[in-house]
Amino acid sequence: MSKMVLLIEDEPNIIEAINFLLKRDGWDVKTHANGHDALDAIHRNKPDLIVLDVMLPGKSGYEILRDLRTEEDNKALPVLMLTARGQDKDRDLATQLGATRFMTKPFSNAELLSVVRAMMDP
Amino acid sequence: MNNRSTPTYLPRKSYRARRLVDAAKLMPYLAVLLWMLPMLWQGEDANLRVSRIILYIFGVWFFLIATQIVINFFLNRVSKEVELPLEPQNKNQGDVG
Amino acid sequence: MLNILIFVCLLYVAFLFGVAFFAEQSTKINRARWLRSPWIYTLSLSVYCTAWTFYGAVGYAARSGLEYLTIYIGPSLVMFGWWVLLRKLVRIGRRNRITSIADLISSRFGKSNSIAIFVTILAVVGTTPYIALQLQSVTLSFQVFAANDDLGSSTNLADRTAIWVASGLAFFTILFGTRNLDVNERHDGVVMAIAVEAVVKLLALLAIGVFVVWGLSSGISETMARIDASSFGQWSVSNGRWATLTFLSAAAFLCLPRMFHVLVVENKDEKFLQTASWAFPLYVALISLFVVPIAVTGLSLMPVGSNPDLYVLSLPLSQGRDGLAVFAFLGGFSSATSMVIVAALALSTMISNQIVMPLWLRYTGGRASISGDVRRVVLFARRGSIALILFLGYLYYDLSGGGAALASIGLVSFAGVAQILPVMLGGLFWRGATQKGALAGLIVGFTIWLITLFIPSVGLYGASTDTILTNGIYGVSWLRPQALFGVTSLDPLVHSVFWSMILNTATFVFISLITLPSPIERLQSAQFVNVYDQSTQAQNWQAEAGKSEDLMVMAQRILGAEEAQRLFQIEVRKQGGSGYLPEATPEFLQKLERELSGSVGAATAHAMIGQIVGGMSVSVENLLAMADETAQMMEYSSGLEVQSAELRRTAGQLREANEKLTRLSLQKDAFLSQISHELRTPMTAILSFTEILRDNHGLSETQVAQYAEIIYDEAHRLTRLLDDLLDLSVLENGQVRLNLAETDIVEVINRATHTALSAKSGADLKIWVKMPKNLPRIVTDADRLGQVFLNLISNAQKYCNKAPASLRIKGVVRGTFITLDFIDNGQGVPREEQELIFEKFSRIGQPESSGAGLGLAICKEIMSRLGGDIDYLPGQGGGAFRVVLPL
Repeated sequence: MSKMVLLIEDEPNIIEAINFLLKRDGWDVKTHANGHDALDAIHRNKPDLIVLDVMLPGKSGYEILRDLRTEEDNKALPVLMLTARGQDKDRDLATQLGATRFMTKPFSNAELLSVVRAMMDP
Repeated sequence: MNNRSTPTYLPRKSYRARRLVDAAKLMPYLAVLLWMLPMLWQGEDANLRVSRIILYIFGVWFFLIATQIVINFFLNRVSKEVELPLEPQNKNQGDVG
Repeated sequence: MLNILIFVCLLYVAFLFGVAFFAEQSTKINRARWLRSPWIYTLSLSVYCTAWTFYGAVGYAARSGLEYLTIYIGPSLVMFGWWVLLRKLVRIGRRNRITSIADLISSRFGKSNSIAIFVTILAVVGTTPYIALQLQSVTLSFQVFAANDDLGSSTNLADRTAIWVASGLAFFTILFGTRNLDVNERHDGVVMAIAVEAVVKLLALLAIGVFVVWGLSSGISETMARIDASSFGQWSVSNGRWATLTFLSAAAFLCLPRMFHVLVVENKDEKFLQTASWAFPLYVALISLFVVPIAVTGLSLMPVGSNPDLYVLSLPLSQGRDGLAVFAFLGGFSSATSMVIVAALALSTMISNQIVMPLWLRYTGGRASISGDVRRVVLFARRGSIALILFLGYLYYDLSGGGAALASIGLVSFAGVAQILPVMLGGLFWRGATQKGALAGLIVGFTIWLITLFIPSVGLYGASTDTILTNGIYGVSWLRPQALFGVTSLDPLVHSVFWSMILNTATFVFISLITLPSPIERLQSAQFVNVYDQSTQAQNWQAEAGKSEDLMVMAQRILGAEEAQRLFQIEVRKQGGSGYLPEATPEFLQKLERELSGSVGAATAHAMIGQIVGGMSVSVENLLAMADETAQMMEYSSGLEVQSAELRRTAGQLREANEKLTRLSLQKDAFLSQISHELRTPMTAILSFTEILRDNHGLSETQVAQYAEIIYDEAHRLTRLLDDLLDLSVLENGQVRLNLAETDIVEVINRATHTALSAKSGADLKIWVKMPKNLPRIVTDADRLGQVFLNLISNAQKYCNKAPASLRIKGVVRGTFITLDFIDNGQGVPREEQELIFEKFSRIGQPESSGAGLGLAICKEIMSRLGGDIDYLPGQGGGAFRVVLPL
């Protein structure tokens, strides 16, 4: 059974792109489009990896990450943060809150795929 | 030259204004006096004709009306030139309208 | 004959409606300069002359000689003394937005509710029989004509007349007296109708007089001879009654609710008093001029036993002068109706402001002032009270059987309301008068009046009347109602007035001396007694931050949205800020309270503001300052006041500027981050799909098409963003070129509405547009204006989270501007964000929508280029924007 990626992102066209790329690469992909019940979606789907956008309606990606890391089971769950801001302080904040990897939009498809593969197969 | 004559001129104006206000204040007392006078008549001159009393009362009425008109006329004229005592102008009334 | 009379009567009533309507319309379109004339004011004072004086004076003269003159001499005395008393009363009334005599007393004595209720009850008790008297007079005058027609005087006719008159008057009063809740409590329509009626009744009485003197006698000398030869040719007036009745009518002239209403509340300019000071005495002199000749002629010509109260009608009828009789009838009708209309209006104001509103406020608790529709409640209370008062009047007429008992009620009523006089004069001239003293004095005076005059005269002691009158209450001889404390030598009326006024005043003064006033009473007493002295403007509120929006909501509910917004805006300008929400400074609260009290009365207005600002906040410092009111002190502190006001204004401006700068710098910082986000997001999708298409690993036709479409859309989004940024920068730098042309605003709105509703992303939104008729075309840039409208409408579509969502667009012409309000039913913009929404990239709350947050910034720039403005309009219960455009 293939491993599952949960994509938390609110821009429909970016969802479409990442969904297409990861599925083609053989991963099982679930998506969730807002911030405030993102944690529920994580508990429900029990993904092997999370791709998490920062600017989300209801609750920001940073807050979701912070709350996630307080949970004993999810301390080590791989999380890939995506942000369109891309300043240094954003990267610092993400790392500090416990993001496994950090990527700035826009990214190349190959780059995304290689990062996801690396995170799944450490 | 004009400047020198003004000081003696102004106080006289406001003096007149004050006396006019006094007159306005005295009006009701004058009216009471004149209209209550008939009460003193009935005892001594029982033959006093009602028609005379009527003439007297209405005479007082029209006399007081005329007096009031005269006082008002001078009050208006004076108040255009000097500020009347006890009459801070409606500066603060502005916020009412 | 009777039919013609009814026809004339209806025609006359229709004419009065027309006059009232015309006057109201004239006021509305500001052509009412002639309505603001001292002559109208003087004529309106003639509500003093009721049917009781129109018909009754002749009857009074026929029975008691010249005594009737006192009824007119009293008011003349008051008018001659206008400088001393009326001027002060009117000044206080206007300054404090007094709405009735109960409001005046309550306001003076610490905005007390209990005293207001008491005065209101006293007024209602004193006035109801008087209204019944007017109904009776109209009924009787109809019967005179009916008797002349040999229809007989059926009680059926009487009943029907009374009830028709009562309902007609209720209708008229409600229509013109409560059409809207006027801030100044003035009713131009009613006043105008009253003035016309005043002319009619004077002319009618003069006509009868001329007919009697020159028609039935040969002139003045013969008339005088006839007077001297008649039964009352001797001067025999009781001194006690002459003085007492003069005093009583003077007191009633000041204290009758209807008189207070026309004298003080409807007064538009203090200067009118000056003209009225001689013109009104002239009016009453003319009214009373022919009374004795008519009475004497009636006594000699009419059959023995005919009612002298109706000589004015029966005399011309008996001489075959039907036209003259009809004219006289209209005079009497005018006297009766004008009294009832103004009395009902004044009493309904008192009942609604002093009884209904406080009760309603208490019942609805703290939420009342900002949640209920106060205006509607007040109007409903007014209308209900008017109907109730007229119904009570009719009931009283019906129950009393319209007999002779009613005829004596005029003076009884005078004596009742005169009980207010000591408290009123004390309140105006004596700082030491306290609320407890006033209430005690009123209660004592009212009780004595009830026992000694009212109850005996209306026969409420019933069967035991004689026993009580001769043996005293409970058999206590010094409690004999008409011989209190063993004083037996006085006439019953004089006796009652003597004791009630003496004990009323004594109690008032004594209790005032031994009680202490509350802080608020002391403030009010200074404001009333020293009304000519500007420096005693004391404040009784303390500054309270952050309550402005609640105050705005409440003010709108009472004054109406327009008036409230105007008031708040002026205050903001004065404080040196912008927008619609001023700081709730003590001065502003004071001013607002005064405005509100013009609509709902002093006590209610005070309570309502207290609910929002929290408690009565008179500080110890305030009181100390008041205790030391030396002239220098006042001068010094008023100088300080000016300085500190200036300082406060400057500080306010600086603070606002500083806060804005701080926020702007934070925003500049966020600006880069924002713009990065807005550009990178579409770029991500474009790059990603371009790569996918380039690599093309067996994509289906539809996939290729779909992905190309996405790239296309996102590229468009980028272009739009760049357009907006460019647009804004062009507008900000003033490089924009406007295409000015004559434009129809309504058309621009319609186009914007259409575009917004047909957009595929447009959520369901109901839009109501209400624009003034005959709007002139204006010269503006239609495309730019349309851009603003479209932006506001699509904002409502995006952010209005109510289902069903609706948007009201309302245009109002204000002088040389037109304002367009866009008000949706959503949650609105929180107070702290209202100032930021016009900044770049400031999206409210979470970025749920696709906009980049530039729309309102662009709108602001466009409107300032077009010579107008756009602002957030707080306190509308939803998101609300006001666009202002020059006409």
